[in-house]
Amino acid sequence: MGVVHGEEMVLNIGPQHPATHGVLRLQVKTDGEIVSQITPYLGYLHRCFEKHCENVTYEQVLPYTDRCDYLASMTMNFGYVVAMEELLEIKVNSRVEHIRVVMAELQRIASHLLGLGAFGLDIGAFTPFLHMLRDRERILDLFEMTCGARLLYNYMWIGGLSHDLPIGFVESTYKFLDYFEPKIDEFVDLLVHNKIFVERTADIGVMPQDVAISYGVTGPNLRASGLKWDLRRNDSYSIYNKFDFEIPVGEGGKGTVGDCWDRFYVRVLEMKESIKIVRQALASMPKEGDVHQSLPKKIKPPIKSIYRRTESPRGDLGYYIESDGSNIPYRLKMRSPAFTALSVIDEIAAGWLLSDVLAILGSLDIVLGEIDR
Amino acid sequence: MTVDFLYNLFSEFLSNTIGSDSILLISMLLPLVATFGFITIYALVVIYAELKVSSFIQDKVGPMGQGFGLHAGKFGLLQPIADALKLLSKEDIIPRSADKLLFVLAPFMIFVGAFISFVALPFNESVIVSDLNIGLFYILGVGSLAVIAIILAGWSSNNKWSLYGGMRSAAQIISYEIPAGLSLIVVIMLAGSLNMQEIILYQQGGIGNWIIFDNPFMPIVFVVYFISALAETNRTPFDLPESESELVAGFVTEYSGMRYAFFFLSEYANMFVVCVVAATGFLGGWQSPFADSLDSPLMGFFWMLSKTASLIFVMIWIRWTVPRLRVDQLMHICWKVLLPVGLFNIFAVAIWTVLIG
Amino acid sequence: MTSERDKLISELVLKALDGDLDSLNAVEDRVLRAKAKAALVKAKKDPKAYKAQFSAVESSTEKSGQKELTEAEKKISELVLKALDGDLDSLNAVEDRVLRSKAKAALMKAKKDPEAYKAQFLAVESSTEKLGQKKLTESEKKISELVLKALDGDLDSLNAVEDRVLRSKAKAALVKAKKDPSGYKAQFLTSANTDLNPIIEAKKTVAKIETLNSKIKKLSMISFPGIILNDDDELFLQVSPVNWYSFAGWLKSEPSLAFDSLQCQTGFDVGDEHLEARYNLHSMSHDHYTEIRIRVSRKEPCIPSVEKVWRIADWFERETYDMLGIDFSGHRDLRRILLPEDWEGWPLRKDYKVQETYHGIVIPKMKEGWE
Repeated sequence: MGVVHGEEMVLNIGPQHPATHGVLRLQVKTDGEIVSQITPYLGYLHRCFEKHCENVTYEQVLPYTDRCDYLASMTMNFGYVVAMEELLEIKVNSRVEHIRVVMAELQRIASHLLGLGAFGLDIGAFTPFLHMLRDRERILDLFEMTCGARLLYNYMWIGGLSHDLPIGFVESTYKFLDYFEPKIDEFVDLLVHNKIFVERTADIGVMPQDVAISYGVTGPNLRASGLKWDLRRNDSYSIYNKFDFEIPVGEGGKGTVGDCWDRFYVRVLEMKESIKIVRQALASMPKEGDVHQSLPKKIKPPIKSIYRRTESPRGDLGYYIESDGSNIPYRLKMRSPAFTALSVIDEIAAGWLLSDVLAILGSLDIVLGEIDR
Repeated sequence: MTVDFLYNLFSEFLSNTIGSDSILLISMLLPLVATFGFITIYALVVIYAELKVSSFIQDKVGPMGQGFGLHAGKFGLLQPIADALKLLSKEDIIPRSADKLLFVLAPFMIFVGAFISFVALPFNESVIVSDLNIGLFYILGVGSLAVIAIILAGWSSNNKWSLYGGMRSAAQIISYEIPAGLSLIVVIMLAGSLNMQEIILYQQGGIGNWIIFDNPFMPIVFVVYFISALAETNRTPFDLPESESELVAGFVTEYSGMRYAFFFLSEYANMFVVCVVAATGFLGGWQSPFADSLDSPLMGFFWMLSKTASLIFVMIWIRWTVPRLRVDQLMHICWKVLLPVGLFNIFAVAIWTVLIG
Repeated sequence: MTSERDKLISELVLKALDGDLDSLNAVEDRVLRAKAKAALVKAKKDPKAYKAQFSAVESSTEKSGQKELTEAEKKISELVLKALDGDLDSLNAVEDRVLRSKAKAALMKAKKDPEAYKAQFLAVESSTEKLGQKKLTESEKKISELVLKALDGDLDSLNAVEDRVLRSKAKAALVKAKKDPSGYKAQFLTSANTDLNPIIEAKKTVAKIETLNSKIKKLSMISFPGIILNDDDELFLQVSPVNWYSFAGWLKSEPSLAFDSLQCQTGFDVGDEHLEARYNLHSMSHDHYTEIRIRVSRKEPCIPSVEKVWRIADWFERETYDMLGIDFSGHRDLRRILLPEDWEGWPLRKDYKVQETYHGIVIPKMKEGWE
């Protein structure tokens, strides 16, 4: 059967576009509706994070890390703090560890809610987006109760936390978890098994495992391709090895393993697991303990370099810190998970229709602040 | 109030003072002005309804205000008026590289296409601007003018996104006219006429006589028609031509101010037309469901408008619940699902009517 | 004269201590023989001290417990090490039956405690000694218990010790420990503590990486001799840029290494006249990591690109090029990724000066202090 080829059209999606999650420009070469090549152009949100870090002290780097992935600031902080504490050989007390885990998991739920809602919006389902934002607001209320900020927290400090939990936090969190758990089922009913949604996302943008590993894709995107790899289990940090939680893996529920539906569903299941972890952490949190106990007076690490990864909602976040003995980092590199996730788009989206490209972009759950730093 | 009725009325009183040509002119203009006024009021109401209904579905409150004249009015009743004023006062931008004549022509064409189908809509046993013998056929035919207008809008904007939107929309509307037509053929078969009033009168006698309950295949026919109607009016799940997240705003990307308002308005007008046709063909039109009680000329208005309003409500409901279909899936549904079902329906209903009657 | 005689006597005694009495008995000069035998009797009371006094072996081998190995022992240790890593073929292929049986016996012993065996025979640093548990005597154990309790706040048990010597020793140790409590704890706490002690875990990782690095170095000797430029006792592998692309491909395809994932690639400005690119590699199947550093000169920084091996290197290398100006040869499309295409300069170099204007927009200089 012969295929009719017209002239190739070059289209620019972005940088100003309602669907791109941030300021991103995708240059798309299409033949009619079928896309033949995608070239991402980055750098619209580049704020010289790494150069800044070479001019401020280690504590002053923390607010900068918040602003890289502004939708999951707690985990950004967490990654940096874990790396620094390993460099300085500080061990924090048990209460701090528990609070950190609670905050990180709540942040994971909030980030997934926004990512899934935005994905639904790209597909055309307007309502689930608003329902998820409503639930996310409640998590942001919890964060505001604790540290005063809704989006950029600067909460986890090297050696401890900035504030202890306020009175009433634990009860409010339990209330929120009890309220939120049935909402996930409601959301699954509304969107996940909806025939039109399945048609739009199943078998689309399949990412095989070896492609994912070669492109450095990690986190829910890699788990959706069938590989059970979670840094909270495999390269454990903090007290994650104490908690009992499953690692959801994509099984091709509605199509091939590793398609957009799998990436979507893995995130939904991960939210459920995070709820479990938060409950366990709250139950086993020690009541006594000073969150400022292990704050070092002076941060002057030995002359060493360290690379440490932690699990952020988008994948594995790595910090490569090299110190030269002074209190200012010599070099700090942040390996962002969304950077690697975006690099794979040409490979998996070429050959699909234009609407599919946007669906695939949404399913990768990227945040431009993290990619451009 | 058909034109004929008005002509006769005016000729009685005014034949001495003005010539019969001018009486004809007046009697034609009056209903048109009335229709235009009706469309305007209807547009305000339906925009408000969409805002509020969508807000409630999304667990929000929607436009709210303190009191009449303040903010958005009590319960946001002044919001649509505010929207209209805003659109009127916007700067009229025409892109430099756009084809000026076609660019300016497109909104007018699409509005004309929606407006002239109002001519054959029955609101009452006597209120219909023109009681054409081929009313249903006329509405179907005239509704296709929108296609040309959309292609013009997409092409003349000189913008790749608009072009995409225009092409998609054209394909969509043309394809979905076929299942719509096939469903209406069933109605015509049963009623035996193309005349809107006659179709309504065929369903006389209460809810049991409505065409939708005539035989077990009719609900399927109704569903096929309703889905095709959604696609005709570019509503979600078929709103790819103007889908926000994908194509910015589709074929209306370059339009602003009043020109955009025309597109907007004609979409709602189309919705109204399509729902009235559905109510006429399947739900008994302006007749009351309780046979012969609550059946007066004024109640006729009420029944017609309430049936139409509930169908519009269903359309809004579907828009905010269901995700969007992709272009090829859309075409697949039309040609591979609705078309065979439509054809099957014709035969099934025919055989049923002959055998069982 | 005496110094020569002393040298001869010490030689003979050393040989005798190793088991070779023939040379001693074969000395014709009776006086010499008698003196040598007397020295032997003395030396047998403390052989190590004697050897330390007289042997020409470096003190490092004494510290790491490495004895002077004969030929046979060296071969046996090689075979056993290979067998511990899983390669039993070389062991079974030995023709000499005596050697084979000795090797198999040594393997049986070694399997009971592989780490210790490896530590004994590999030139690995005493990092395994730094780790956790030193061999503690009874009293040392008790002292460490008391000090740990005291660090947590319980001074009663310390004061209740009846033995004065022990008590004073414990108090001295407490004073010392208070200066660095977490280090002391890390030293003496066992893994009965269920909380993950990051310091202990980090040190375990360090040990793992070091054994892995030496393994890589060994395996690479076969096909890429000389590509690894540093000693085995560092946590990274300094690789020369010359054959890097094929080396990278070998790292990925070698079954026992299988580094199929490039975790992070960073560019560094190491001062003086060099730039460096560091690659953090990870293996999904074996779950081990390593770090590879490649140093190039500042004037002509050129490293072969590995984007065909790990596809993510495509964008990582573009970023390193963008920020530091390292040129990756063989890259399909090396252009700036984060900065605009026509930006001048390499920002993350230490000697970077920002350009004055960009397309007519003046770039403000950095602000000092609070604004």
